Amino acid sequence: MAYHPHRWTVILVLLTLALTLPLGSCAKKTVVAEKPGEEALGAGNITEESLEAGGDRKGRARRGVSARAQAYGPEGIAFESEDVLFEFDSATLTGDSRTVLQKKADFMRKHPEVQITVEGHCDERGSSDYNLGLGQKRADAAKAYLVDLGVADARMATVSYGKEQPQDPGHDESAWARNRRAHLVIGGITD
Amino acid sequence: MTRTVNSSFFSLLVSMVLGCILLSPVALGAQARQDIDVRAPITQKYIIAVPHLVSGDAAQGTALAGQAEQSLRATGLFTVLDPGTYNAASPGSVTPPRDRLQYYAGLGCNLVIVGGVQPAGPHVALEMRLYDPGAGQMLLGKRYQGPAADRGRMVNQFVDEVVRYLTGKAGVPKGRLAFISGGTDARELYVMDIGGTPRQLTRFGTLTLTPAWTPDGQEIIVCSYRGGYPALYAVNAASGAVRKLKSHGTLNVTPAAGPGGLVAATLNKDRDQEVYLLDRSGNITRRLTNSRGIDISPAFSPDGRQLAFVSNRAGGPQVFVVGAQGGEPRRLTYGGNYNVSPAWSPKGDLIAYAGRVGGRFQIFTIPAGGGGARQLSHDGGNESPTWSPDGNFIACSSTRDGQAAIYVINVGTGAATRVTTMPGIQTQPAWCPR
Repeated sequence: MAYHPHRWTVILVLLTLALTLPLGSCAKKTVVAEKPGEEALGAGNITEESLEAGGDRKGRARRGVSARAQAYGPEGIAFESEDVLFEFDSATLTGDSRTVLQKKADFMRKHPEVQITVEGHCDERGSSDYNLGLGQKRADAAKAYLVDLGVADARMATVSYGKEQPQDPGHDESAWARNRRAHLVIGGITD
Repeated sequence: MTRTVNSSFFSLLVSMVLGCILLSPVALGAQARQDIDVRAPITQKYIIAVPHLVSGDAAQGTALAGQAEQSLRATGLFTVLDPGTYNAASPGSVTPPRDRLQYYAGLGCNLVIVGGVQPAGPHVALEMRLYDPGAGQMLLGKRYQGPAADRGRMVNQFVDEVVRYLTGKAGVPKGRLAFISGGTDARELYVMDIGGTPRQLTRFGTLTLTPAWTPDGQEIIVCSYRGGYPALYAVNAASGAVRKLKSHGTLNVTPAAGPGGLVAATLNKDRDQEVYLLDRSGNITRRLTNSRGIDISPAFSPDGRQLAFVSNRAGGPQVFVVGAQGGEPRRLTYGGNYNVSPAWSPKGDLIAYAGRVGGRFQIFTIPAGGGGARQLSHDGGNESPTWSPDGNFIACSSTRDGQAAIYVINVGTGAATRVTTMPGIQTQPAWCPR
């Protein structure tokens, strides 16, 4: 039940971005302001806002979209915005997850210079310590599938955040579903 | 909730009758010294009053009496008379006259604490006496002298002496706790003397988790993201100096420190999480587990010969025990489907853990050799148990009052006291072994 709204939202965002791509030239950087819980809707309705540079992450799971991703335009933004989701207490990839990862692999193939970090996250239920392990399993699962799809192992680092850095601070099933994720960011661990 | 003198006396009567009928009777009044195992469930409590201390500063006399009352209640051994329900004025002397003691006896008290405090140069002098008011006899008396800021701890020390006198066991928790405090972006390591003020030990500006004391109490091993991924660091408890342990891969988590400088931790170096033993610099000594899945949260036995840890090899997370030389792990927990965070009692006999019950976590203890689990907490969500060095108390994080804070539970009575009152969320306490 919780998946359906999210899936349609993601499709809507992607449609919007796909529609706006031909409208922008390579020289002009069109940025969609991306805040957790908000999606850009409506074709042609694009706001431009400078976001702070990625900078020294110091082990904080990134909020919003990194400067590196923005540099790749809408496809870079989509790469970081769309998470790989998991069922409760599971690190097994679903059909939807594989579809998302195939798009990630496409991006990696198209930009062979890109290094990424695959973050593993959990919802707030469960203990902190055990969730460090579960988060790692999720990151490992996403990375392993990308390796199967031909992405070089050495281009991808994994970091588990357990339940410590949720995407959605809510306490209901829809928040929990958003938080059970592998989150891919452009850049290495210390970038 | 106020208690009248009559109802407390009636309760005493009822509980005495019930005690005689149901259980081995504990005689009260005739002899004040008892043999009660602090770790066994309490069926009857001593009735005690603490009138205001004799002092030139009335407010101080009232405050210190209140401190004693709070500590007495926290032990779970006493029914403390509410000062609003009797004449709690200072008796005027630390050696009250017989008829004043009779007054307290008439209230139903088995015991009364009388004290006095006065300035002594730059310090304060505190005198505390435990009386059997019916017999008119002093049972125990102590004098303390020290900085005024330590008044509260002197009172706690006396309450501990009272419990030792009565039961032969410790009554008031003490020692040092390390714990984590913060919010979503940054969590830092803190240390506090129980009853004292917390001191921030790290300023990494990022996530720092799961503190573990070395057995000599010199260092605290933590897992921190200051390098962009979870790695192990040793923080000197006195100076705050930091040394990084060698990392293996990008998952170095849930450290425990054992005898001989050994560190146990979970690593993901070979694409599957396993528990490893490391030397104090982080070099791998031995891999302890060999099972696909999550193997995490190791905890040393007091003699270092065994480790408890958490594994999902049986489905959900359960606590297992393995020898420090390796070998086939033995499953310990069978109740419930989610048991984590094992901590081995310094006495060696029990292992505490957090088990999920009805959607929240509670603290349990289970015999280290296996057997039935005993639930110690019931209010709010309670996680991350750590034992006091004498094995009589367990500290944990608890959400019973709202945001998570550190609490101490008396293992025998189940009585719980809150020990941190800070902004933010306090979790993952670790009790210094010395």
